[in-house]
Amino acid sequence: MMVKLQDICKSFGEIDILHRISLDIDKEEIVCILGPSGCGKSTLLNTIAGLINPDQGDIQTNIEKIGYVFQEDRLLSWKTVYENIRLVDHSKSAEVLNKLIEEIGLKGFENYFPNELSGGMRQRCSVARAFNYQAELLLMDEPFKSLDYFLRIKMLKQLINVWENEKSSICFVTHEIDEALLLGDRVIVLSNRPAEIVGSFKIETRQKDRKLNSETLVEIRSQIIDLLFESGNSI
Amino acid sequence: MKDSSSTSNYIKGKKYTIISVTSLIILWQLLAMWINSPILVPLPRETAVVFYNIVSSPFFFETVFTTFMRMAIGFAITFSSAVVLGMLAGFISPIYYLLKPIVTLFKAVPTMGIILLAIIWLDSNVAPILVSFMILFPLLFQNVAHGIQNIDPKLIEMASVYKISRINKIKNIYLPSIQSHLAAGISTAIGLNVRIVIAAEVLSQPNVSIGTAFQIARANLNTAGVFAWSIIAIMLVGLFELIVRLLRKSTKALD
Ligand SMILES: Nc1ncnc2c1ncn2[C@@H]1O[C@H](COP(=O)(O)OP(=O)(O)OP(=O)(O)O)[C@@H](O)[C@H]1O
Ligand SMILES: [Mg+2]
Repeated sequence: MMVKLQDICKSFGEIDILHRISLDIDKEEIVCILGPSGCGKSTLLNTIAGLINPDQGDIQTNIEKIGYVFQEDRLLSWKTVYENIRLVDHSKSAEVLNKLIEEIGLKGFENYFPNELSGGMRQRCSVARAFNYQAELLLMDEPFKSLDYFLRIKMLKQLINVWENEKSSICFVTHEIDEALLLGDRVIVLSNRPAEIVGSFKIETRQKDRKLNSETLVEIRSQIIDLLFESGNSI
Repeated sequence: MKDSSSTSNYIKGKKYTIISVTSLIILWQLLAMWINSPILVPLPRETAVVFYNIVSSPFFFETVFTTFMRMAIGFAITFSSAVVLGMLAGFISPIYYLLKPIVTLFKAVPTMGIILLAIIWLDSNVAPILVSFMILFPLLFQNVAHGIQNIDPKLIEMASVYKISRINKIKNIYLPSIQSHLAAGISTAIGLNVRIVIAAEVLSQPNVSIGTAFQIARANLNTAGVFAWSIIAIMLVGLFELIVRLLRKSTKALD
């Protein structure tokens, strides 16, 4: 066990956001979280990161280093791509950092400032910063949201590589069901606000061997869509 | 590409500066001819002659240097105390609320009142420094404190998740944020500092000072002299801005 959430409740003012969320994230496990927009996914990650105190419930963890790719990039606008990535770990050599920058697809942009990059590039810079931190638990809030299809697949593959090398745990929030199916050891589905866990799917196949059109994944996908329809479409 | 466009902007800026200065001098010339009284408005040419005489006189360097040092010392004291207290106030709100009434008081007292009090309390040589402090401190202090208070809390959250050390937080997040807030404040403060120190000198009359030179020129109805000293004061503002720019460049290079 790396993180154990028990009966977490959180409300902002009158509005209940999280309702009795219990969730374990194991060592080296990837947990993907799907849920309707505004249901409380970012709030859940913030709670795990310790940025928000839950009103009720209990969080246990034995983790020292948490990396967080926030929903917004949260880069320092006065620092270059290179400096932003280096910020979280000054001990890395230039060689290591440049390799990381190349892998994330920002080669040639090392000395650009965030406002000179596209949204997707900023997001990748924020991902590279988190990779550089080599956390035991990596929280990612829609990290690939403004990337095109192919770049997204490439980033997913790279994330899986990083994960296999570092043996970290990952908690990954996304709106793309396929992304969750390719990545998650477990896929959690949240209801509309207040968020409750309404579904949890374990996927045993190794990430590298997964095919989206395999029977299991097609089956899980249709169940997830049903759940999201039931719980999400109250607008 | 970035460089060439900024160079051409720079040249364009220079071009317009030259046009505006030239038209100002032409206007001055026309006005002087129209009024036709050198005691009210001297001709540019007369002023240039007086300017040359002042600059080549044996006391010129000492006069300007003494006043320059008063300004520099006043600015350095004010700036460093504003940064230190402003940062403390930005981090610790009780300090902010303790200092705020004092700062408001400093801001509300008329400049003349401050100058007169400083002359009463202090030696005429140091009175201008106190005046400079009392006028500039509120401006710079608030710039720094607001700079800290307005830092995006999301960046601070980011820094806390990544366990960025306090020193690195100050160096990489707080100082750069204040810097952008301070940039405008510093520029205003430099111009204000030159004017205020000279105003204080005009009244406190130290033995050697630009303010005293102003006063002597006025007493002799030497309006061209007053004009010439004003031009020297404008040049001092330019000199200060240059020094601050060079200092900033060298601190950037240190990084
Ligand atoms: N600091 C806050 N104060 C008050 N309300 C908040 C705060 N943060 C979030 N909320 C509310 O909590 C709810 C959930 O927000 P959250 O950002 O967790 O949703 P989300 O699931 O991440 O949405 P999205 O998919 O759009 O990113 C929203 O209704 C939001 O208005
Ligand atoms: Mg969110």
